[in-house]
Amino acid sequence: MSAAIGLNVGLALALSLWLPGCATPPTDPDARAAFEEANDPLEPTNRAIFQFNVALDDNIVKPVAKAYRVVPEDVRKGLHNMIVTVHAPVLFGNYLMQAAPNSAADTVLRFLINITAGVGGFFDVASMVGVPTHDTDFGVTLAKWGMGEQFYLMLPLFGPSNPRDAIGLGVDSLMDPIGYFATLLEDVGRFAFEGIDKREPLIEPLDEIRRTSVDYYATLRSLYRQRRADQIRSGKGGANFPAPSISGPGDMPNTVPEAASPAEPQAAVPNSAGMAKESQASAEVPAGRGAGMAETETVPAGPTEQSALANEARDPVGRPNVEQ
Amino acid sequence: MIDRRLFLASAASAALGLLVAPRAGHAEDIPAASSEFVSRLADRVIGILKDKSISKDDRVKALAAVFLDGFDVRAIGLFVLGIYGHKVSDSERDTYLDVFKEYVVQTYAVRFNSYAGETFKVTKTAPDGEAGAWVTSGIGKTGEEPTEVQWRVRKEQAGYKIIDVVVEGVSLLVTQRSEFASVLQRNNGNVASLTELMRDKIVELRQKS
Repeated sequence: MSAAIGLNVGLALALSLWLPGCATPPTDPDARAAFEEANDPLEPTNRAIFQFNVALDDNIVKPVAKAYRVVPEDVRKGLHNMIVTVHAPVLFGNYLMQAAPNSAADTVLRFLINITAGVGGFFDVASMVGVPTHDTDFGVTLAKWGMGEQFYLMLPLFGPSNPRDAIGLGVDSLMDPIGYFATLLEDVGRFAFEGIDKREPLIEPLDEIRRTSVDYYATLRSLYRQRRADQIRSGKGGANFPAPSISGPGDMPNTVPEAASPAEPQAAVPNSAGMAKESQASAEVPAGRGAGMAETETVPAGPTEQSALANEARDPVGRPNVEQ
Repeated sequence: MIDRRLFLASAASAALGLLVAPRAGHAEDIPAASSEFVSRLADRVIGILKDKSISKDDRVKALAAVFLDGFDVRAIGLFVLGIYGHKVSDSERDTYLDVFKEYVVQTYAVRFNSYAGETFKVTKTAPDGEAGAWVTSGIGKTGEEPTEVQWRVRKEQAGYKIIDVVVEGVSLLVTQRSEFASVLQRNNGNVASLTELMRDKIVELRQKS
């Protein structure tokens, strides 16, 4: 992504803020609690943009991504590796800003190995020799600096986001040295290709989610949040998921789950998940992913070196919609 | 000499064993039992997927049976109603739970189908509260990087049950609750309309499968 694309994001952001359609907070306490948990004050506008994105995806992005499968898998993988390799300066800059020297060092090492032995990044030799993959972005950097998501935002073209991650997109594109050398046309071409590269592995998962959900928009909103929270935690766990309220073994609630009380929405099984995860996190590499309440984005202090392999390779639900 | 030392050593370890064993046997190891429980379920799913002799319909039925056996669908169903759960009338709730059961069978149990040809391996277990455990597993085709799937298991009166599945930081329970909250919010908290929506979805999914 380049400066031009960054501008595009800024424009999209401005546009989404300008468009009419702020949801009015409901007065009913339950509805109000749900409204606040969804943290989507622009929902009517967001849904409109989402419809536009889905239409664009149905008509252009997905068909192109499907057609791209004509290219043999090994070649697609190689091209994907190249995209990841040339993205290294952005990763490096972010890891420095996150004070994550080990990940920064890995990023440099990966870049040097893959650009040379990996023939311009086509082969991921670095992974073969055991240099771990990492992925991050400026949205994660901002989160680690303490910035919350603010609210949910559906960006045209880019899909699920929030003001923090939208700023992140713009800053990342400014950090990308290639953007300063490429012409606008080359930029757009690269951007489009990266979009297809991201969309292709998501064809089946997104079809499945859309097919089975009763509210596709709300499902993606939740998936995006949870994935981002996981990326910010570097896939280490550290927060806790809520659970159905059964204090002891067996006693099934006949009436109302405790967790349904608006006062204490995550009352049940306090923190057990998080603690269990954390105690394990240091032991294994992609350890204890999970265990995190979706809508809260806790940023645990400490080393970020166990950055999830998953972030890099496949992003099954992160920013899933129309990435064109 | 050597014999004697061996004898002493074995006597000592036997004594130690006697001291330790009864205690270990007393308290049930919930994480270990949970891990075994999840592995057994996985074996059943793999067995069904491998069996080429059964028809597609029977396969789906068999998978659904494993799903309903392994998951505490009732607890999940009540939980995902979220804050709207306490408003619902008894009869409305019972209808909702019936339809929810069918809905999750149609959406999740059917998904087991896509695991054909994949291997399952428990990589880690950790306690989760007094009566539960997180069982972490790797699922994937041989030679590929496995996907990490975490199963949240709880010991209940009816035995061990799964109450949540977490894949790459995404909780099934949290996602489902958010989705339902959105539907309910837009329908003035009316659970019956959510039930209706699920009914429509079930019909749609049945037609397509």
